Amino acid sequence: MPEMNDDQLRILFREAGPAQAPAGLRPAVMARLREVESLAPTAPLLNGRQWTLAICVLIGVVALASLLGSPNEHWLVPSFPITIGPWIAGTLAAHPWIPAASCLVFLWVLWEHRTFRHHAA
Amino acid sequence: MEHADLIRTIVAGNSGAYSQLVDRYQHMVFTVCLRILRNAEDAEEAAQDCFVKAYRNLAGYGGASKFSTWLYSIAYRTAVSSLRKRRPATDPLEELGWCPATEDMRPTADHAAPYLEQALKQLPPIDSLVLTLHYLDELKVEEIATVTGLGVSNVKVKLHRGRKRLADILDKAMNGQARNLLLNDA
Repeated sequence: MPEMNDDQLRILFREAGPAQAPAGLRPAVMARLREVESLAPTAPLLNGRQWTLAICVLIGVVALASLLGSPNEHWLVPSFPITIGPWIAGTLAAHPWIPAASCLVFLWVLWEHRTFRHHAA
Repeated sequence: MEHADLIRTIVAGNSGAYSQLVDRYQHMVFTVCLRILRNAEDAEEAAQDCFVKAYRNLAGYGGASKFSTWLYSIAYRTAVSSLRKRRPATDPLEELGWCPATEDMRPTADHAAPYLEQALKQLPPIDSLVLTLHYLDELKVEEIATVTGLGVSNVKVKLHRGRKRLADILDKAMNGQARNLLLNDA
C-alpha cells in the first residue's frame, strides 16, 4: 500500500504555505476591539441591598399614592375595570411627582440593565 | 517581542500591541477557519470572531499549552460553531471550477504545491485541518488533539487516513506524477 513520504509532504505543505488572510483582517479585528473597549465593563450602580431598597421605595411610592388618592369621585374604591382608568388618571394628575419618580426608577433600571450586560460581556 | 512579554503588555492594558499577535497568527487562524468552513468570506468572519474572543480571554491564558495551540483551539471552535449556523453551502470545488489535470496541463512533480489546496478540499474538513496543523505548523499529535478536542488515537487515525487519501487525490490530479515524489511503497 503506498504511503506518503512524511518529509516530502512537509516540504509540500511549506511550499504551498497557509492560506493568505485577507488584507482587511487585522484592521477589522482592531476596529472590533475598539468597539469592545468602548463598551468596557463598568461597575453596576446598585448592589443587591440597594436594589432591595429601590424596590421598597417604589412600592412605598405606589402605596402612598393610593393612600393620598385623587380628588375625583372614584378614588376610594375603584371598581375594575369601569372606574379604574379615571381613578389612576385622577391620582396621577393630582400628584405629578408619582409619574416623575416612576420614570426615574425606570430609567435607573434601564441603566442598571445596560451596565450589568456589559459587565457580563 | 516574545510571546509572554507581548501577552503581559496586552493584558496590562496596551491593546494596540494585540495587532502584533494578529499579524503573527492571522494566516494560520484564517487557514484553520478555511479548512472547516471552505468559504473565504465565512472564514474571515470566523477569524475575526476568534481574535476578539482570544483578546477577551487573554488574561485567562495560563501558558499551560503553546499560545498557537490555545489560539487554534479557539479558531476551531469558532469555525465549527459558525458552520452549524450558516446556510447550506454550495460545493466549493464547483465554485472554484477545479478539475483533475489533463494531459496538456500535466505539471511536473516539483510543482505539486498548487494542487495541494484543491486536494485538501476533497478531504473531510477535519482531516484536512489535522494534516495542515501537523505538516504546515508542525503541531504534535497531542497538540492537535487539544485544538480539536479529538482523542490522540483518533488524531493518529485521521492523519494516517488523510495522508493516504491525499496521496491518491494528488496522484490522480497530477496524472501519476505525484507518486514518485510523495509515495513510499510500504
